[in-house]
Amino acid sequence: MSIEVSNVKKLFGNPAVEVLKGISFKIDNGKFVSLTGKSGSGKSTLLYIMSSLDAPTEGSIKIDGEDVYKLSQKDLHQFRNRKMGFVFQFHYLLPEITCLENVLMPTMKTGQMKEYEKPAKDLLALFGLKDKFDRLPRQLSGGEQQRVAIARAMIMRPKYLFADEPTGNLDSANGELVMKILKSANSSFGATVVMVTHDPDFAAQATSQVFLLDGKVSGIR
Amino acid sequence: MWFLAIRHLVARKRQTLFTLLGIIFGATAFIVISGFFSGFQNFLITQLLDNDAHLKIFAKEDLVTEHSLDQYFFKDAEHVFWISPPGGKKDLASITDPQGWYRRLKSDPRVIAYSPHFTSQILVTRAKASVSGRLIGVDPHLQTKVTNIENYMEMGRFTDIGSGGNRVVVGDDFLGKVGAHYGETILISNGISQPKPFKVVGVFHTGMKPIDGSSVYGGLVDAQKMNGTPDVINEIAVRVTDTDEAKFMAEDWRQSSHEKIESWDETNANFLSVFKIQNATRYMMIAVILIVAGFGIYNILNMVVNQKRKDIAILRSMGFETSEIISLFLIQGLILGIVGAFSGMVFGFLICLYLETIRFGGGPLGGAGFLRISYAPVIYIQALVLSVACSSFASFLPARAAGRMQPIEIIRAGAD
Ligand SMILES: Nc1ncnc2c1ncn2[C@@H]1O[C@H](COP(=O)(O)OP(=O)(O)OP(=O)(O)O)[C@@H](O)[C@H]1O
Ligand SMILES: [Mg+2]
Repeated sequence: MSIEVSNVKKLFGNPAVEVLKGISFKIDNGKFVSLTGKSGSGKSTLLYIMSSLDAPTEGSIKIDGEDVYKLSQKDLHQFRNRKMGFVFQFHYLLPEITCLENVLMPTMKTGQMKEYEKPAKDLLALFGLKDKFDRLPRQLSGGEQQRVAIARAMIMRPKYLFADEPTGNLDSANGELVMKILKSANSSFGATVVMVTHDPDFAAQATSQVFLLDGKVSGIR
Repeated sequence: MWFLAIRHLVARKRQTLFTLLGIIFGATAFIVISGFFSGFQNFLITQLLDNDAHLKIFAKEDLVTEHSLDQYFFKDAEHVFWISPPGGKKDLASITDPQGWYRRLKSDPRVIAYSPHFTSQILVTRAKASVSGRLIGVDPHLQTKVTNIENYMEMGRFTDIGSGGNRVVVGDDFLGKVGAHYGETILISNGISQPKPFKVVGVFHTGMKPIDGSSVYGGLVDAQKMNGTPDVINEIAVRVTDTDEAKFMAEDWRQSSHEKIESWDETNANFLSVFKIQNATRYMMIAVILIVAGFGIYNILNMVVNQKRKDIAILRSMGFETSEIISLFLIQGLILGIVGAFSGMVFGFLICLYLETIRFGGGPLGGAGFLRISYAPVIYIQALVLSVACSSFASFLPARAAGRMQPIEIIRAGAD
């Protein structure tokens, strides 16, 4: 089982600009992969394409052997709900509901809110948010919000976790904490993590590193 | 999505309240306006149906023409020339075959009762004043089966007219104009004959000016005698089982008779056309109110959908489908619609209760005493259905727009 990126090209705008110029690589399940490169090199674009959010202009993405852009809408949404977790740089939480409810949102789709209440609390406690279950997102610091967002991405124990600069807006202490959490997801339930980052130290903590340069893979380690 | 929809509504308390007020206002207005108009109309129609026959058969008033007399003069002549041709009304319009009509009415299962009339124009004189009116000669026992005039008697009983003996029952306004009172004797003439004394044995008040101000009921025989035309009748009043049928029965009978036949709704076509205009006005007012309330919901939800673009993107990334996003916003519209409709119904009901206590008099038809308000369930059902339909429709467009948003555009936009 793996994520297979084959010959992915992405063109934007008119006149078209080729942002991704034919990218191919494979990520085996259970890996922790970091994606690095200069600003504008196409990291976010590639991550969104890999994670089913944005279709490539050319090429294909196969996850677990299935071409994600050929799934039916229903299957695609199920796939996102059960097998994928997303962490964005802007760690957007729904502002009307509490931290705990935010974490439980993905379980609402399947009507399993009750069953997941305890795991959600455990997860938040693990992330140092034990006394903040019932706070609204705006009553938390940025780092705390990011941890809630990661908890939300992890609640369904997804096979795949995609993170776009999860530490981008955090100080080094909070950044370390988030890294620790992502690594623990990878080690505890074997999630495959793909993380975009600018920080070379965090990138070095990954099991594999992919370097992008001007829309092409310039190196894999 | 109910959970999140409710949270959204609660989080935007002020907006929710204002939208709700719009719908409440719409539903309240609907209940009050509809209740008022249909109450008023129902009241008038009941009164019409109570006090007048559902169908009337009239003797046709034939006019004398140049050729009316041809056959009597020159059986074989082709042309008759008059120096001064005859004209005007024939001296007496009468129903030619009343017995035939009675048989026909008796055997018709749609007819409850009928009452033959002899109606004539009269003058009631007192000192130097004279008041014109209509003397309706009736058999009181038949007449009370055709109309509910008994229920509108202020003094005496309708059947006190008896079968003759110059006794009359008079509308209160008419009696007022004459300046006479219950128990007194008034002088009635048909304009040609010598005035004859009649005793007022009853006074009625129907609330309908045209009836109260001109009608005098007397014995059939007395009326015929005054006119010098015994055994003649010129009108038959009929009561039917189904008032909606009356029109068609009239149509039916017209085909096969010489007489003029009018159903109650034809007689009162003027009123009823006023009702039609009233109803059109009412529907227009209600449509405007609903459109305004609908736009309120539409505007606010549109704004909310735009503010919630990121939420929508996040929900999509969690695997929520288009239909679930649509339902998130649709539910909000629906909740607003249902809550607004029910509150509006309660408010409308309370206002109606209040309106009913307002005194109301005058008008062309006389006072009913108090405003009549209809509480027909159908009004409340309509209010509910319209408010809910209107708010679902208004929320559907923004909801659909939300459902169409692609997560990637929004996430990207957020990053810029
Ligand atoms: N929707 C779009 N339309 C046009 N051009 C786009 C669009 N999205 C991205 N780009 C362009 O594609 C290139 C790659 O963008 P991308 O966001 O993938 O870079 P990145 O490597 O994530 O950069 P950063 O480190 O700053 O986040 C950029 O030059 C950007 O301007
Ligand atoms: Mg980026």
